[in-house]
Amino acid sequence: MRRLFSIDGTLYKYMMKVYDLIVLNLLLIITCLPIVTIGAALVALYDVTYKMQTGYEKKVSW
Amino acid sequence: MVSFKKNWQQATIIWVFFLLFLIGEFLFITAVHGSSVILLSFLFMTVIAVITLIYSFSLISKFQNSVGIMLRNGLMLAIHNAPYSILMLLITGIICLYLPIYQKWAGILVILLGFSTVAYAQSYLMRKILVPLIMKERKMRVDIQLLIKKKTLRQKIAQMTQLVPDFFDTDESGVVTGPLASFGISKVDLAMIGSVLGSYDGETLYRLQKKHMVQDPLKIPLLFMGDVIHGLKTIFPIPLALGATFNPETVEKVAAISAIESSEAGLHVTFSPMADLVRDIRWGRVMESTGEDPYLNGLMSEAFVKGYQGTPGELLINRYKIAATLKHFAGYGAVEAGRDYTKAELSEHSLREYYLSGYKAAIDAGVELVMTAFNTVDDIPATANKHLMLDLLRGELGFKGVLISDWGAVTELIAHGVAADYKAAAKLAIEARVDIEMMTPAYLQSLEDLVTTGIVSERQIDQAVLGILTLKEKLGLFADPYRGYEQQLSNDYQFRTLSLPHRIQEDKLQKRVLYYLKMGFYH
Repeated sequence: MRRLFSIDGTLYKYMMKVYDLIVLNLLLIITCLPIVTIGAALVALYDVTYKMQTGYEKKVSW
Repeated sequence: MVSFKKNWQQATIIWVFFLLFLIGEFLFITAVHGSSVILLSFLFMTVIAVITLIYSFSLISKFQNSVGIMLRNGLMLAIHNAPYSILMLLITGIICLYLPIYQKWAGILVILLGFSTVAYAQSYLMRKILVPLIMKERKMRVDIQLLIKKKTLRQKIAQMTQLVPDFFDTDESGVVTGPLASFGISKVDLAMIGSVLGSYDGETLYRLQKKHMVQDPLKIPLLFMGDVIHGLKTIFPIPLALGATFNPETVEKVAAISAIESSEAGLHVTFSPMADLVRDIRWGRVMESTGEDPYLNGLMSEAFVKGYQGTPGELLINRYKIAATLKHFAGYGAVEAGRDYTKAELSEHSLREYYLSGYKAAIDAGVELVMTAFNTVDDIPATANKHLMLDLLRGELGFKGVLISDWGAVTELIAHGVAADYKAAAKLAIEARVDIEMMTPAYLQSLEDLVTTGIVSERQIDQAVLGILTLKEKLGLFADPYRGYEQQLSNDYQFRTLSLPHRIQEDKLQKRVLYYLKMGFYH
């Protein structure tokens, strides 16, 4: 049980990912507000999520 | 957010097109009150437009093309990979339309993380489509197994030997002189050698490769390695100081800049990072380590590897990335009283508790090579230590790359007293699965004998050669033996070595390290 909640554990790893996704989503919504910028926002979103697959993302959150 | 800035123009153009298209459709439908046939065909067009949008937005940040070609490629890919496209549309439809409209409770979740999750899932599928495409673009499919079958035993053994460029500068008449003669290496062997170390001059290496590609019967390119420890031309603080910044992201940048400058100097592999934990200041190589903390060493060695090699598979498509070598496996920093090359007194406990974490992090980060240590562990020299190399490194730690000896470490086995001669040393090293012998001729002089007398099986040799050739393929050397060096020969090539961004980064770091020193952060 203790392993489950440890900083190196699987749960923590995936929760970090979920947190990154939430921040990313928030950034997307903010950058989408002026309608015309939606294109650029989506490209940035795809770029970041693609890099997340390869484990080479810069920290989404700060 | 770099990509946001770089690609916003193209993205906005495509997006405005799409918006106009939607508005046009909407106006048409409201004006005409069309039949269901018209509605259906409009729906179909919208679906096609959406999927094209998804594909071309994914492509923008990865390929440089005009907007028109980007859209065309997007549409082609969408049609070509129809099952994936349908899956992507389904995911998008369910999460972005169905859930918020028909399952109100899920609306808040969608607003919280729905869109990024959709993009994440789409990127996952997109990667499956794009990676093979990129591979194909580089025409890298070399049949390594076939290549090994074609090689003679002698050629295989030469592939496992590494020399300095001095050896190759024999005069054209073919007279073997100097180091060549004392090594017992003939010119024929020389033409089949697998790798070269210790030259940082792009021109020399280019010339060497060019000559080699003519002489080698199987046209297998040379691998160029060198020690790039804390920068090549732009010099950063020593690794110990880098460790003391406690900042892995900075270290990753240092490694990335080193990789660019190494690549412009013609190198393919660097002998860094050194992940040896060190706690005895009498040892001569303390400054090459990132310090005394197992956890920090792990973070730093991982950052180094990521900086040098980039993402998995990036070595193939990005010439500004080089392969990293984790060193020295294992316990090199633990030598008694800091006396280099001697014995390390390590219990299995302290090896695992303190020393392995630095190595493990680099291996988990996908480091391509590992170098053996000079010291003994449990009185067995690391280079011949089966427990270290087979049970731990290739077993528990799951290392799959190339194992290289340190400078002369194979014949050093004689000095350690575990081998009587070259033959015994070669046998011990190959049994520990050392793939490349650096700077000594034990493999070249005696492996052939060992195989023909049945002491060493040819399968063991094949295994080593397979590793080496796989590394060459990963670096894209079969597609381009010069690894993009030829583009530097043109006059309008912009050198990145010592460029302003590199020097700014260096300046920033030097100042930070001096500040730490002044404030007494180092003790």
